[in-house]
Parts: sequence; C-alpha cells; structure tokens
Amino acid sequence: MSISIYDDCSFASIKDFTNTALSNFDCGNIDLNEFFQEDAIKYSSSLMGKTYAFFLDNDKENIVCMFTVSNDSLKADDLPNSRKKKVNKVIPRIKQRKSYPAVLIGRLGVSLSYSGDGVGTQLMDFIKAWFIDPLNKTGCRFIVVDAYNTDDAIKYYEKNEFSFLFSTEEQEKEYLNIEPEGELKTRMMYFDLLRLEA
Amino acid sequence: MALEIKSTPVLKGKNAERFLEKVKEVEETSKKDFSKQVDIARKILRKSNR
Repeated sequence: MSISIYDDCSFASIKDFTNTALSNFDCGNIDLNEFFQEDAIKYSSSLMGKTYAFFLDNDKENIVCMFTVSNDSLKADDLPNSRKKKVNKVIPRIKQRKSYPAVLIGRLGVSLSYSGDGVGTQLMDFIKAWFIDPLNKTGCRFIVVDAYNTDDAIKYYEKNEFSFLFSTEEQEKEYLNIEPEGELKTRMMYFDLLRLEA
Repeated sequence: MALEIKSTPVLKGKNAERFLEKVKEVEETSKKDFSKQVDIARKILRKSNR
C-alpha cells in the first residue's frame, strides 16, 4: 500500500498508543517488534530513549513506522599533524579528543504493510529535518545509528547516505572485543547533518 | 528482552583519522538545500501539536 507519511499520517509519542496498536505493529523483525512492544515504554519512562511513531490519520491503531532516539555524542581522538611530527618515544602522545553532539537512532522499523514504498526514506528525511531545524533547541551535528548487520538494513542506511564508523567489520569486532569468528549483530553508522541546509 | 542499544564508541587511530577527515571535508563543501523537508517536518509537528 503506497502512502505518504506527510499527507496520510500523524505523529505521536509511543505513550499515546494503546497496547493493541503496539502489538499489531509488525516490521518483520522479531527483535525490533519485541523492542517496540515490550521495551520502548520502559526506555522512555527511564529517559533512556524516546520512541515516536507515525500512524494513519484515519486509524490510530494502525502504526506505519516507529523509531527511538536519544541524545548521544560522537568522539574521536585526534593527533594534530604538528604533534605527529614532534612526537618521540620518550614523551607520550598528547591526544585531543573531539566531541560532537549527536542523536542516536536506537531502533527504527517500518510496518510490513507499508514497507518498500519509500516510507523509510520519508521517515529518515523527517528525522534529518527535525534535527537541522533552526527551531531545534539543542545543537546536533550527527545522526548515529546502531544498524542491524543485515543486507536490507545496511542498504537502507547507505541509500540514506549514512557511512560506517568503522571501515571494516574486523575493526568493529576488535573494538567490541568480539572474537574474529564471532558474529557482529549490528554496525555503527553515521550521517553528518552539516551536509544539509535548513 | 530485545538486543541492547549499543553505546557509541570513541574512535581512535585510523578510524578517528578517517572520520575527522570526512568531518573537515563536509565543513568545506556546499550544503544540500533541505528547507522543503524542514517545512514539511514543521507541518507534521504542528498537525500533531508538538
């Protein structure tokens, strides 16, 4: 079914939905469904992450897509070029840690009934626009996502111009202390909001 | 209990270098006009009293 989340839907916090609406939501991923149905409200009440949804204007029990966001930051250790040249074995390297404000998309899912019709991209455009809006109360440079490491999820974020934080799965596993033969269930990706102008 | 939401890592070494190069690159390039999408987002939020 082809719909526009702008013209056919409204937007609300997860706390505004009934249990029926939440349990009817099926994005085809058991873990995501479970999160939205069982954990999202707890996350929200403990201020760990707020979950929002778009629902059909003519049927509030019919949730089209949902996502969870929380405040975050992206940090990177920098060693300025001038210091790189001067560094020697006796003096420890003085690092400068750069920190950028970010929003973390903890979870995002589109109902199977509406997937494949551009709803995911409309939703991502909404999130990007929401955070670059000059009316946004806090500064936010990046959107970060902990994406499921599946072809569909990775393709979706790449299509929406997200990049990997770690160049390779091996580097990400090493950072997370996962054995080389272990499974990397999610991958950290980011989008630089400075690429856009409100 | 669903999979835990991971905390964002602190980038180090080559990953940090690559990331900071991209940050600089974006700061030096022209931006994509997203004003239409911002207007739409505002309308959605107004419609939902947010």
